[in-house]
Amino acid sequence: MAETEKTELASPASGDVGSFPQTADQKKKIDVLLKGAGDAPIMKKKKWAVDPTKKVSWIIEFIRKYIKCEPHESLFLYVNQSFAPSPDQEMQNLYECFGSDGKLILHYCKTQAWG
Amino acid sequence: MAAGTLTWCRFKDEASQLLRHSERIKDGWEWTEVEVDQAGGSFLVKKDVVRPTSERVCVKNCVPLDDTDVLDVEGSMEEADINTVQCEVKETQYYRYQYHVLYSTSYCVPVLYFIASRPDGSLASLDEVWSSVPASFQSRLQDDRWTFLTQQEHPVLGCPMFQLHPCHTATMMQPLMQETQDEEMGSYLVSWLSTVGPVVGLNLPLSYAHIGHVT
Amino acid sequence: MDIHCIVNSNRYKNCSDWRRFGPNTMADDREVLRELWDGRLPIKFNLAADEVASMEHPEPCYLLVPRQSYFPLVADKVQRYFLKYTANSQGEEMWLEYEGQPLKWHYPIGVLFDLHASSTMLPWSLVVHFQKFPEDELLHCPGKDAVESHFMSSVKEADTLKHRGQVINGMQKKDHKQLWMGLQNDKFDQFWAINRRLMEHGEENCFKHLPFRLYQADKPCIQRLFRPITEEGEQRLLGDLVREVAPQVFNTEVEDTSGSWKVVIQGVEPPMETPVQWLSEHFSYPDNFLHICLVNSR
Repeated sequence: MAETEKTELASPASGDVGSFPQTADQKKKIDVLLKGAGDAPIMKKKKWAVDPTKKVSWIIEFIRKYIKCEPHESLFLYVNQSFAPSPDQEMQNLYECFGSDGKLILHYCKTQAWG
Repeated sequence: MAAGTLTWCRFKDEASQLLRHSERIKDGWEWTEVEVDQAGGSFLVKKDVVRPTSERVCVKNCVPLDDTDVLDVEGSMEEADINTVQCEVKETQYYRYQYHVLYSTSYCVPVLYFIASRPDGSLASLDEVWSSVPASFQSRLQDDRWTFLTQQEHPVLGCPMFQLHPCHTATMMQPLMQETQDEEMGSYLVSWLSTVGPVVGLNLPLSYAHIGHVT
Repeated sequence: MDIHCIVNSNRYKNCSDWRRFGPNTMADDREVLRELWDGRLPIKFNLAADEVASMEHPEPCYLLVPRQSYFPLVADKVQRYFLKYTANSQGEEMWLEYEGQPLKWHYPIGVLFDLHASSTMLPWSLVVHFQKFPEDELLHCPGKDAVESHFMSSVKEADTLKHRGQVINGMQKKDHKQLWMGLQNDKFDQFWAINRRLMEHGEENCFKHLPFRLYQADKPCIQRLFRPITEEGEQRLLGDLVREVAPQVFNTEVEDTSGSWKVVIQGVEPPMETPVQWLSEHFSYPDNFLHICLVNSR
């Protein structure tokens, strides 16, 4: 697996993938590996350090913007390669339940229409 | 089987797994048999799920209220940036939901049905149901609500219920199944329910994620 | 009053018209399609007596409606006409009833008649309501979008059964729209220009599964997987289908006090020897389903 430089996950609104201003009481970020499932586009940067309080819905929005998801396309996130956590689940929780070897692997699927 | 689908047998097996786990964590799922030995004639039921259902109004579409006006949540949430739409949450009421998971022999996929009752016992309208879909799914809903979530007849009981249309389920599940072998995937049913459930207020606890996996 | 309707269909009770085996071309049987499309029912609508709020009691309203259509598509006039005689200020939804039975708007009109009233005198007499909507029995119809949604959903399901959905999914949105507009505007050619593709059966000479629903009064409808040909490649017949799904029709051993059964499709009783593939191609309703009514013939 290619070692890519870990990048701080920036806010989607800023559009700028850079580093956050460091604060004294910075929470320990979670190492996340984002993998595309099926024919979802592969992200150039797959490894990210994420604020543990960020929710699933926030990550989904981030990926949507990164891979340029059209408004009519849906994006879903899975842990354990098979389970979609509810949108308001926090990363910390997911890491505690499904993290291994110091990281959390999340699969994402993009689909045109669903139901 | 066609990509993204499952057989009635697998549905039943996975339903059993789900029921065992539900029993363990007291999550309230039950198995209802109506047409024994008929594919699709038995199904999962979860009753008495109380869910706060707020009427959401987009600030730009606010209309003056008087006593008899019914708040009509019509405005579409424009601009894909869901996270920053200004929404004022009106009075929150608690609706009672009942969910049924059936197997469609036509599409060979599971289908989610539900009813929502208002605090006074009357049934929620389609508009109320649409407006209670969480913000993160509203753009999909606005796109083509009539092919997505509508009232239908329960295929076994015959009573009116809301249904998430199953015609795209196989397409949605296919990438997930493609990635994994059967044994690794765990439960199709859990994968599917965890994906579509949140649209209609049904959130599976994380512990379901381990079902069917060899830990 | 001009009454056409199901009297026409008596023509097709003659068995010899029906013994067709093997593939048929659409041109041969187009006449059947046209006759069914043009089938009409004369209906007499009356406002529920306890909902009349005016001094004057309204006269009944008469309409000749297409069997193939749905009530919300044809009953606007009726609603407008009776509304002024009621105390309806809440915009309540109109619903119809026949002899105490609320009528399901999402069933084609011909199906409702065959199921509930096939032995009644014409015109078919219905009661119009605006109050006490029976929401534990009837779906709401918020407008024509609901009818279109329901119709297209049935068409898609039927194609999924016949062709794994390949034909309907291979069509463009405008083709779907044309099916709906053809039905809504009573345009046979416009409708069948698209529908003929849904009725093709390719090299296999038949559909994968038969889209059908079987109805009996006071019971939920039955829908099962049913292949139109046997493993050996023989055509399966209407009798085979009924025997499998509703065996009580042929169960002459048991003393059935409720009388014998009629199997009614599109207002006629097709012979049990009719191949189901042919029925599916010619006797389906516009939603591509074969709606079969089991009626007690007492």
